[in-house]
Amino acid sequence: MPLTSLKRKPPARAGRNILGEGPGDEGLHRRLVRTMLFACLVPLLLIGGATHLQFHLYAENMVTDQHQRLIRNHRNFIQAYLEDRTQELAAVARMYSLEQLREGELERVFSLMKEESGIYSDIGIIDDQGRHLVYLGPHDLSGRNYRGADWFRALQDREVYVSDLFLGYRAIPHYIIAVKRLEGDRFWILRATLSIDHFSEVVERVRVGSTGEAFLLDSAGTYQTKPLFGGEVLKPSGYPFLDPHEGVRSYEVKRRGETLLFTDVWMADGRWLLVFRQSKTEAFAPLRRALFTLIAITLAAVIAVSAVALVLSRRLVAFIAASNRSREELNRQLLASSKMAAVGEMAAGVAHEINNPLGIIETLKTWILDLMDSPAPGDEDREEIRDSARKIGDQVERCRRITHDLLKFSRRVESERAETDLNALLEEMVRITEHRAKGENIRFAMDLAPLPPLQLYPSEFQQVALNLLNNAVDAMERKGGTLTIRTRMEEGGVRVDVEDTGCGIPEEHISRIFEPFFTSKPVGKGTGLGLAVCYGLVQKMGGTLGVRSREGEGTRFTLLLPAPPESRPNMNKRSRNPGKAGGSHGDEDPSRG
Amino acid sequence: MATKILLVDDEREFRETLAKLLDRRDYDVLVAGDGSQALGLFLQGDVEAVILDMKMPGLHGIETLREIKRLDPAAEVIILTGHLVKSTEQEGLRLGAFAYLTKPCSFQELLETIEAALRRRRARMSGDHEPRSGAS
Repeated sequence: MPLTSLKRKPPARAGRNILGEGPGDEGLHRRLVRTMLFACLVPLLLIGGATHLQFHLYAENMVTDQHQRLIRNHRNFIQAYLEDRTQELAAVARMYSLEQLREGELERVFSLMKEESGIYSDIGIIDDQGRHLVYLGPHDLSGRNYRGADWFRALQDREVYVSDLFLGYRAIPHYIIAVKRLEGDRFWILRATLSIDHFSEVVERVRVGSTGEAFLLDSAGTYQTKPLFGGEVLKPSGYPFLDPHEGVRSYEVKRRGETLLFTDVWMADGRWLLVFRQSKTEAFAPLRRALFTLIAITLAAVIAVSAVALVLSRRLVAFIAASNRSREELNRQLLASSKMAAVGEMAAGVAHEINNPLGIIETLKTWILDLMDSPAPGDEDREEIRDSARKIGDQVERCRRITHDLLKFSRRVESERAETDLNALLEEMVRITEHRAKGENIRFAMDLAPLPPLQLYPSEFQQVALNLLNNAVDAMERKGGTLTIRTRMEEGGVRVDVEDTGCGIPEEHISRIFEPFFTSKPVGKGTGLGLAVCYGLVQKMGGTLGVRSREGEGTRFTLLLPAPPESRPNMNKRSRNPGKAGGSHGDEDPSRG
Repeated sequence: MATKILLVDDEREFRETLAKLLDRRDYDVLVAGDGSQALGLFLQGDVEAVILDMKMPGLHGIETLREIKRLDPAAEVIILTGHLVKSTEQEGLRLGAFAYLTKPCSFQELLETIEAALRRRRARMSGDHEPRSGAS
């Protein structure tokens, strides 16, 4: 048929506002805490993590830079040191002739040199045949011939020679520095031995912390100075990065559960590799301290945020719970007042129905008094009086029926599920509505199918039915029409239609009729709560409330209530009192429909 | 000639008993069970006062009142109803009803109201007629 319909579509606010139920406080609390913690901690941890990462990279660069700068400087320092020693010897060789040196000058000069620094352990002069002419030192090396020694051969075509660490005749690791002096057409060599301890000390002068040290390797990876932490001079170091390269390089090596940082640079024309080594743990100790501080700050922040989140959400939940309680209280009051409004609307109509018999009783009373006041009441008058009294009785009975129906309605106030005969309840509601609708030319058509007993909230169903019936009567006021009440057993449960042939609902109103406080009735007539409350109540019963309407033709409200599966038998749809007209109670006027 | 009163009410018991009471007080009472019937009787003429119920099947009390006033603006109409609705009362009085009484109303009060209505009608009638007779 229609036209404009609204079916099973929840209205914007009705359900929630009128009978909506709040979420559990504990669940809400948990959800709030979770959300707050997530919102606060995730950025906090991200910032912490990013800061740490950035700082780590920065620190790593800084440590590497520092090591590289350090080893570059140190190489320059060692080179300058050796250069100084060489210059020193060259100066002696230039200043004195072989003759002078052999006759005591060497002894004098060497004692000065030793006094000054303790750099040299011995000194000697070798002629161009490799013979040891003079030797001052702790070993017995006089008369040795060095013609076959590497350093001697190297000096044939150069002026200065600095050796690698070697054992030589003395069988002790040592370095020598030799300078060649031409005298006439012959040459002689001034050769000094560097104290290994002193030179090692020079090389190791870059101690950093407790694990940072420097040492020298030759191109084969043999120790040229004695490393502090393990390793012997002239023994292989096992250092893996011996390939020739320009400049300074850094490596990270994991060894026996420890990570070591190496930085190296080639020097002395690629004969020596100066290596700086430090344990990573130590090198990164400041970073670790910073990290601990960061973790401590983050942890403190996490604890603070969690505490705030906990306290805040507890307060919030308490606040929400309080406002939920007051809303529930408000809902209860709203429900009660809307019920009162519905009852009030009905009561105004029913009052008329009681006033009518009271009016009759009043006139009959006057008539009886009239008859009794007549000068000589005869048998006929007495019969008339008796008849009037009987009629008064009829009217009293009529009043009693109305008040009885009303009482039955108002007594059903308990909001409890109970087995309910829906049809009987509807008939009762229709009877009350009939009292109210008398004189409005409304025909009540009951089309009730047999229904199984249903588990319902009778009081609430009653309120819904009363609202729908009241609305239907209002829609047909003065104009009259037919109000059809239909029940059917359907697949999903029980369907109740309340259909009128009244004014209908304008299309622009239909989507709003279930909203609270929406009313199209004149001011003072409707509260705008009836349908909103109905909607909430039907939802509470697990059902749906739909409406179809066409303006000027009528409206049909359809109520669907769930029925237990066992109560949905394959029954013959036998209409009970099909199209039965209402108005069989207390109606003495046969002309009434 | 007895004063002719039209009594309109859908409650048979009420209108019959009230008719008997008024009859004993020498009114000439016509009774109607609904608005259309009432208009039919009113059209027969000479009705001086109408006692009118509001809620009735068929033509509603207010419509009946409007129709009566259209036919005879001088007709005095007393509304007597169990219908306690302010808006109906206001509309009734605005349409020119003499009074709005609610059931149950004592017979004495009704009688006094009828008499008052008749006095006003007669006063108005004579007021209407005298200048005319004076002119003739």
